[in-house]
Amino acid sequence: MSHALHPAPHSEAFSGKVAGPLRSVGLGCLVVAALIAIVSGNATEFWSAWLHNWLFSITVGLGALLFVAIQHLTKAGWSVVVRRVAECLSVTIGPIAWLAVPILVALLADSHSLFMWNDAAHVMEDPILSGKAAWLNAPFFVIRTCDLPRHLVVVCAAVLRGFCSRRPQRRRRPAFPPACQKRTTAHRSWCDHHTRIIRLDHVTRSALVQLHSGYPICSPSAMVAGLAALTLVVLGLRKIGLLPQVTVEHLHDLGKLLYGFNCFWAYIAFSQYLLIWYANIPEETGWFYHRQIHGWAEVSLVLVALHFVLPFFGLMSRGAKRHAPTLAFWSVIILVANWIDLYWLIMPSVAGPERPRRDW
Amino acid sequence: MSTTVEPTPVTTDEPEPASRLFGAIAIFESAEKLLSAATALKQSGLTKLEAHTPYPVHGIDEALRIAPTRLPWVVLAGALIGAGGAFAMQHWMNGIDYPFLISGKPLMSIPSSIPVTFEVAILLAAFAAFFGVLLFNGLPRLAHPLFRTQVFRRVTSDQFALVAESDDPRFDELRFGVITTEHGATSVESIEQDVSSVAMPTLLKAAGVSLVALALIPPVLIAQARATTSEKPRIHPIQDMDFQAKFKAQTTSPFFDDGRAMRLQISGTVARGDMPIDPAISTGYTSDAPPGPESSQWLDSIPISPTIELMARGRERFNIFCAACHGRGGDGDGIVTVRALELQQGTWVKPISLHDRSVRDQPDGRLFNTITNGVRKMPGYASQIKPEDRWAIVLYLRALQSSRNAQPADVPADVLETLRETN
Amino acid sequence: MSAVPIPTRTPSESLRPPLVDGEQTLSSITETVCSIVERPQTPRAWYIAFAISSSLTLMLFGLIGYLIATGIGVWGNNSPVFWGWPIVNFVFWVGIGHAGTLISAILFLFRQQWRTSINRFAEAMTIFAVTCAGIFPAIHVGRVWLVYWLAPYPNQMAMWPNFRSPLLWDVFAVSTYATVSLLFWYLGMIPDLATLRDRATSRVRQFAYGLFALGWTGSARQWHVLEKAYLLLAALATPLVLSVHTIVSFDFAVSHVPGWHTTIFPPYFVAGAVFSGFAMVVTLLVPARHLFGLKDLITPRHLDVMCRIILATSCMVGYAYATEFFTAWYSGNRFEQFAFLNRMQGPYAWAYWTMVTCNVLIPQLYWFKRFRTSPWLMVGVAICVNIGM
Repeated sequence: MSHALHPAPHSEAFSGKVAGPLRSVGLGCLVVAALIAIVSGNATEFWSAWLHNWLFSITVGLGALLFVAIQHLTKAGWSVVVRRVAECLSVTIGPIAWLAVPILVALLADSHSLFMWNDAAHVMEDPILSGKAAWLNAPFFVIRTCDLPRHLVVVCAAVLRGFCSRRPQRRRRPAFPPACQKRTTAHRSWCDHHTRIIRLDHVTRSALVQLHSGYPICSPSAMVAGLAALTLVVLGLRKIGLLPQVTVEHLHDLGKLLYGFNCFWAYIAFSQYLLIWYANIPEETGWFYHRQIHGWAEVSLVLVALHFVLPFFGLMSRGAKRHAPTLAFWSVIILVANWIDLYWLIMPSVAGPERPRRDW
Repeated sequence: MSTTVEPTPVTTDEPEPASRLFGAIAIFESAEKLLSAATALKQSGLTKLEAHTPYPVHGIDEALRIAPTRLPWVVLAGALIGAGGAFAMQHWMNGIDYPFLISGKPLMSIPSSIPVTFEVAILLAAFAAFFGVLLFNGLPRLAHPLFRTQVFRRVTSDQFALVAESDDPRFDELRFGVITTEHGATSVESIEQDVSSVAMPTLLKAAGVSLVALALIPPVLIAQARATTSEKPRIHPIQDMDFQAKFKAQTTSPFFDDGRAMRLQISGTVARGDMPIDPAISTGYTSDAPPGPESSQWLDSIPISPTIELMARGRERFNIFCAACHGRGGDGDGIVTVRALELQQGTWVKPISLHDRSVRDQPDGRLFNTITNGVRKMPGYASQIKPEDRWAIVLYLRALQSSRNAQPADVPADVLETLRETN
Repeated sequence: MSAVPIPTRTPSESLRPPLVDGEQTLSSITETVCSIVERPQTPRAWYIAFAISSSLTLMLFGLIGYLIATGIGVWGNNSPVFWGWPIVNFVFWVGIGHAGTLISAILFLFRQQWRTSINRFAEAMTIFAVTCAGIFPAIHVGRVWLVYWLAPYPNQMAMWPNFRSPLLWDVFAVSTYATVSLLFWYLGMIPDLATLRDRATSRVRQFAYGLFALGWTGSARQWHVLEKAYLLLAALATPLVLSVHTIVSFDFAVSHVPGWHTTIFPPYFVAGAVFSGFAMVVTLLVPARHLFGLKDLITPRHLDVMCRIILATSCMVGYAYATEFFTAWYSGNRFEQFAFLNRMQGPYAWAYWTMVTCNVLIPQLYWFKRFRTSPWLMVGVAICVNIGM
């Protein structure tokens, strides 16, 4: 979706020159995508693609917000020069959150092309799904999803307030400001919402009885996506001379964080996989097994390679993290891998026994 | 030993015969002064220049032109060797050399080998890092000329030192003193190296030799033990289950009221493979006790259905259990008998031929009973041969007997026809 | 007292609060720290404390002797399938150790300079905690003299250990962890031992410190290699510390037991480990700082930061409890649901509620500044956390 780059306020000229066309391109793509969907007439595919890309877009903003929150919480000093960029990235959550509305409307209109549990007849037949009906029902889902923008307003307001109030004095606040605490707690609960959405998607779609998957993985993957996007934007702004304060040391630090959180993502992903593989309980293993057969095996392997193996060795050396083009290359790779990650989470469940589509 | 040298003029004492000049040391109060002096000295062309500081001073590497260490590569090599070695080890041990299946996991499974692979990689990388430090730094080196100077003792606490070594071709103690003093050195000294005696003291040498000799004893003992045999029982420091207190069969035990070590079967229980069958089948007679030889209570026919499989089984069992004495053909000329007669064993009774009329006329049940309980010198085979197998032997025995005494009427007409044609 | 001592900054140089209080110079810090071991007369309090701890240790040895002679039924392990008591203690102690590595390695990577006041202390705690942890799995095998069978060595039985068992992963993880912690501790200590060597006045001390300082001269080349090695070891210890408790959690989570088979276990065990470890550091540090006169080096700010970490990890642990509970309900699996309800209402309800109170509720007191600044209130909360874990 549209990565609305909110440029730093002191570069109004840049903003006018680039932001407008970018916005139009984004909106244009959206319209084209919607048209294609209407023409092809495959509602399930349209909705799942919508969900996938919506999640991807909002993940970037969430990761950036998590980054900002952690910097405040730990009173980090080094990140001041890139924090503005992260704050701006996190503001994208605002417009992107509205893109969830079509999903909710469809849900309330009794569409079950995306969520199996919205089909009353199907739920009646399935004792497991009916046991979850208290959680998995359209109104509650809508409430939970709408809760997200509510928190969002609180958090963004806090971010922007801090942004404006701090500008003139240009000094860090010495104490642990209550605003930061609030921001962080709000953020945390809000990440939970995010994770729950993901879980609802894939868990229920595959009608898995007990999949303990999904929730811990989202924080690292959001963080990785946010950091990759942040690094890219910082590199871009630095290249056109808008962020001269960013030195190689900052790039090195960003690179290290990106590397570290990417490894953390791999750790979380592997420990889930190992536990489910080892216990080999049919109702759980099926989820992974489905992703290991048919065409999904290739997607899984590509994910492992792009999200872990290649960046692990590629970003390992100090030189790679301090060399802007290399860092940019791996940020792009990781961002793409993150997109594939969400694809891998959502699409196999939607497609059921089918193979991944290749006709596009 | 060392002489305090004021920057100018340098007055060196006559060196003692047991020492030679190692170099010169300049002491600074701050890292900044040290850095500027180091830069200046390096520019003057000194190559063997070293800074000694209580903590790592930033910028000193550039000032002294220290090349980046190759340690990261050593650590990476350690990690790769560890990972590769551990992975190969697990797959060889659990997959090839001693394959065993655990909860249906593949013999060589990648996911379950990752934890150990990871741990060993970290372990070897950490060892590489630690021993790399020792190797690259030339440690341990317990004796160093610097340790002989008094001024050095504060360098590990709060002072900073620059040391130039005398075997540098550009080394000039006077110049060193001038430059360092210009940059704020508080004192400059020369360092003497003790070269009086590089030989080890006799006492230390003797102690070392005897320690080595003592250390050789255990391996020599082990080698001797491995190369020779002994009639003594092995030493059991930990007894484990080697010598367990137990009661053997057929002995007494004070533990139970009846004083027997063995327990009787609890009434109503059935041992595995001991399902009760018709007593006639398991004994060969219908009465309660074995009847007399001519009794009509012997079973007259084999109580299980004679099949070709049973015949084959009987032949196999006969050849295993009976043929040794009775001979494969049942003539009483088994290898044991032949050998016993050769040896003229007085007690050996040649078994009667199974084709003898007295045997042929016995009812099937009686033959069965003979196998079960024995007769005359022949022992009973009840414990070795199961009842079905005993019946199988009887069946085979009947076939053997028929092979010698069959009448034409016993043979089916069409087979008889064929036989006549062949003869 | 740091591996890589940092020149103290005066408040004017930095906007941040200083790392040490008072007017400190390099020599005054060295003096403060070294004087603890250089006292001519060992204080009587030390002898008393040493007598108490050594008699407790003797009691430990006696009881272990009794345990080995009698059998592990003494612990209530009367089934070859469960660990019960030993695994509880094992996990607790390994977890305690994690804070030491976290302080020394992870905070080092994040360049949190406040760690330098306490890292050696925490690393020592790690090593002792891992040693304590090692007692339990070694003894629980039943015949402790055969514990070497766990190692893959060619033997007369022509057998190899089962590498697909999480218990063997434990062996590798914990022994690697102990070794790397020891290396890390010692490597950082070499320059400090050299300092002590050069300050020593008696021959014996010179010799002993000199032996362990390995001839360190503090040359720029030595520092260059040591700094690199220390950084690399920190980078190695960071994933290691995560892996250790992850593997410990695998002991539970690879099974099919309802309530144990949960993929949240690995990160949740690690968070719990850091949580309990920091609580233990606070518990030990506050009295030590008081007794050894280190109040200027270990300032209220250090304690405050540690309390915040405890608070953050407490929230994570609480979040994990809640998630487990939700997932049990959400799974629709009756056995899973029963396992959790039984924890709350069954025979171990007292333990469950103590745990929730001590681990989730009481640490919330750290939101109040008073609990983060008053050392004794802080220790009170930390002890509750130790009990809770």
